Amino acid sequence: MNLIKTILALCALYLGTALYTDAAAAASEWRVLVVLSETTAPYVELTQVLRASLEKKGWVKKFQTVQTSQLNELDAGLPGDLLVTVGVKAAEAVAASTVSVPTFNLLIPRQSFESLPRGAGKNWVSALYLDQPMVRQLQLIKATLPARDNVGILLGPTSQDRLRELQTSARQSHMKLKIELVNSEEQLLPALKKVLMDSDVLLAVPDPLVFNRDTAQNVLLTSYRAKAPLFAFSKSYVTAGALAAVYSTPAQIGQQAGEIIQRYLQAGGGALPPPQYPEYFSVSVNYQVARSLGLVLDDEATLLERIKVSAEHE
Amino acid sequence: MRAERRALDLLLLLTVLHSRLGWAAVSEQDYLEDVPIVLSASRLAQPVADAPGAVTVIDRDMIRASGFREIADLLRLVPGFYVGRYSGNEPVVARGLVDHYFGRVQVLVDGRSVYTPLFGQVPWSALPLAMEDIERIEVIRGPNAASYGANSFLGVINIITRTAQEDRGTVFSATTGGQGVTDATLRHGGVKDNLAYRVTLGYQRDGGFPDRHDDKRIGLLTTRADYRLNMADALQFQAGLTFGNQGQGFPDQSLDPSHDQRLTSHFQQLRWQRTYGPDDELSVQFHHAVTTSHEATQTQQSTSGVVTVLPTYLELNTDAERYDLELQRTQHLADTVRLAWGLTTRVDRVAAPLYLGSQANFYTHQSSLFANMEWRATPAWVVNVGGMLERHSLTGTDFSPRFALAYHLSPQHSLRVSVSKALRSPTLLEDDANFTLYLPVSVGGVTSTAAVPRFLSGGGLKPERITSREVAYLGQFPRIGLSLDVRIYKDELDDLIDTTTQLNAPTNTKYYVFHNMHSATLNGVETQARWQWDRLKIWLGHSYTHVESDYASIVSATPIHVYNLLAAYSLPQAWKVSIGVYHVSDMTPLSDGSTLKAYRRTDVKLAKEFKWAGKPLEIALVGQSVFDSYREFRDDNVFKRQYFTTMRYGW
Repeated sequence: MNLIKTILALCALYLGTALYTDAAAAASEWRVLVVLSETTAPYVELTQVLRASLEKKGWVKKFQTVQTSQLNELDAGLPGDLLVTVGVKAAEAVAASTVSVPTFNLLIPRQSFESLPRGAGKNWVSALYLDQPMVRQLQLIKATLPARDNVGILLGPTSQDRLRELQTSARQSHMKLKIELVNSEEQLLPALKKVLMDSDVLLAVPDPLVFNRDTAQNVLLTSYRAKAPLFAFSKSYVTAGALAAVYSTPAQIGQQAGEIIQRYLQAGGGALPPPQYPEYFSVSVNYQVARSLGLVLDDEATLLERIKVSAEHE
Repeated sequence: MRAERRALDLLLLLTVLHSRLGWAAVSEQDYLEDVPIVLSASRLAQPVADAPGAVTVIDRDMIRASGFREIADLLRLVPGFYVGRYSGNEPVVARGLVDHYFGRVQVLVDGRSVYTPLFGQVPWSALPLAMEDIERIEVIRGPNAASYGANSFLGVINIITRTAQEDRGTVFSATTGGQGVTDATLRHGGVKDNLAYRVTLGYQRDGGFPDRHDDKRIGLLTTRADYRLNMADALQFQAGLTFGNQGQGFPDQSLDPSHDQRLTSHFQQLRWQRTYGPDDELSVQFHHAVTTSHEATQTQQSTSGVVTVLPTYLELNTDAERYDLELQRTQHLADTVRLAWGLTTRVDRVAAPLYLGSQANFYTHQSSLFANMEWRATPAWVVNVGGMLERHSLTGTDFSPRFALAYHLSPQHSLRVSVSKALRSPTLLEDDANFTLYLPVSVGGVTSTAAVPRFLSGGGLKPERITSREVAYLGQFPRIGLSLDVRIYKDELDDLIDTTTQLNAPTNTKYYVFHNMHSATLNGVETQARWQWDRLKIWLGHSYTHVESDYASIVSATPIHVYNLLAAYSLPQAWKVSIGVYHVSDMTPLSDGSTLKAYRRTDVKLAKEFKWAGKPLEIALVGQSVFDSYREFRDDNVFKRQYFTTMRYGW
């Protein structure tokens, strides 16, 4: 079912691209090539929003999308002045290739971006991260439950790189962190129980060992039982039972990427802006979980506004 | 500060070392992938302020702090509940109208009713359930058929066990102490791919009351497996077995001398659940349960006047089996309207030759349709409307409605008004009792058989009825860590079943006949409070009950004041101390009880956690009724000061 939807959406995208590019041909000479890791709904949605945003002003002559697997077929005759990758796989494929066109990585967590192999064209690569700055995640906790400042965090092998950033952000937000390291699946539950003893909320930091489909049940149930609700990094975790999350939707990433790329093209190319965190983001709250824990929370729009305001003050 | 910095640096160094080991990197999939819904409506505890009735939640903190080693004792923590013992192995749990038989409180374990069809009792000491596996107990202090099904009459005790995912590894605990107390529990849990499982093995032994033949030696084996089929569907399987012996009878009663009762019970339960959304789910649950009891006694010779009752062999065997199928659906009809509805059908088979006067199997069928709608009309007003339509093979079709209105004065303070009706179907014994002893007698040297009737049914019994009305206030005072719940209620009970006493002329003995006889009105105030201040936690419950009835014994069978106080304090270096005080005012229980003076019982627990081979080891000393002795339910049940020690080790 989802596959059919995706294929249909992709067809529409290709068709739309073809029609649009003709109409806007006169305005500009820029050609944008989008490389997609996958063709499922989030990737297609992001690309649609990006395309609409770029073509509205008529800056782009040609907007073409290919899948990562099709990259090799194009090799020498790369039909673009700017490369946009959507997803980590696409970013890695482009980074590993000999392409030396300015490349803008989307739908990529900061950590993955920073571990991409860098060739000579270092300055030609930038990104709009998918993840939120730590400060923003701590601000969500503050906005939602102002009285709770003991934040429990589990860091797995992959996420342990973020320790320094976490500590800086915590100092900035006046919050106390209780961090436990997890290096194997067996350590997860004991570490979780330990961290929950001294925390009044649990903050999820993405790590395939700590947060995945199989561990979700354990982490959510255990933190719920300990009355230390989980603050997550995606809407699906909120649906699954996390108290709240701050995240950027593919459409929001597409929107901001469109604006960044427009400014870049308007300036006549040159250096890409430095990598950055998303400016557009959403807040989701699971009110059933809140009610069950006896918590009274403001509505999502109010929380979102509060995070934005506190970001301006810092 | 400096030490903290050094610790941080060390942590950083460790993380750098570990991150070189090459784990899967974070990708956009971590942010985009769907996660199975974990905290769906059936998992979430309903906040007390939103519940359509009065609720007391006994959580693991309270269970641990109480020091109780038996499940029935935990109900001492609920305002208005009386817990006593007919004998050391037969707890009596009641909310008013304290009675050896015919509990008017429904008991569910993970949605499975454990109320026995013959006596309407709960076999507390033989439940296939280890205290270690309980997550929480939700007690509804009043009728609630719309949510908990038939026989949710004066209250509902809803025991929820932990999911298999929550307990990995192995835990061993052992208890030993006075009155022959020897308990042991061994539990092992693990996870393999989408399957989580748990196996618990337990043994409980004690000597009962000092002057009674009421010891027990019960073993149990339970297991639970949670299997996730895919993102939306999950299967849960549970099974359990208990077996053992317990003492019955009295040394001085010729027809009921001291003897052993052999108990066996087992159950299997399968549940399928599909979760469509956080508040949208469907489940189908099937369970099968068997409870058997064997009692064989050699009666003793007794003489009264010219009649000598000769020794004979009596068998009081019962064998009960239940099949139960339930479908439940929770869904959102609109943003503010939630509907929970379901269907249940149940068949009970009972064979109790001596009680029912026949070798035949007796069957009862029961089907019900229930629904409850919650409408959050405005953030302040919440309306709950529900009901259960039930068809019972003994009593026909009945409807139990309920209506509750909650008004949230502020997020911290709310008021609730509710009216509900419920009924209790007669038990099989009440409906079909035909308990007659055939005893060999000798009159002047001539031997014959005398029929001595004991219990008979008047036939055509109607269900007992209750109409309950209440006004409640719930408040939270976060600044001082207090939550408070006060409720004033009026429960009107009608068609209460009791026995008339008749004389059997030939043997000049009394026998009892069941009829719908009495009505009663209970007016009361129940208060519960929880207070947490730093390392101190206090739970307090009090109930005042004023009973009016056409039958004086009902009035005196309900204690006027019952209160409980449990306080737990965590000391430095992993020491924990807790004290429980339980008070019940004077009363005379119905059937087989004696007039009891008011008592106050004080329990204390002192625990310390150590590390042994890096794993937690807890050693605790528990003292029960440390100041005074008191009597439970009967004159001869003297509960004396008792100490035991417990160790618990997990790895």
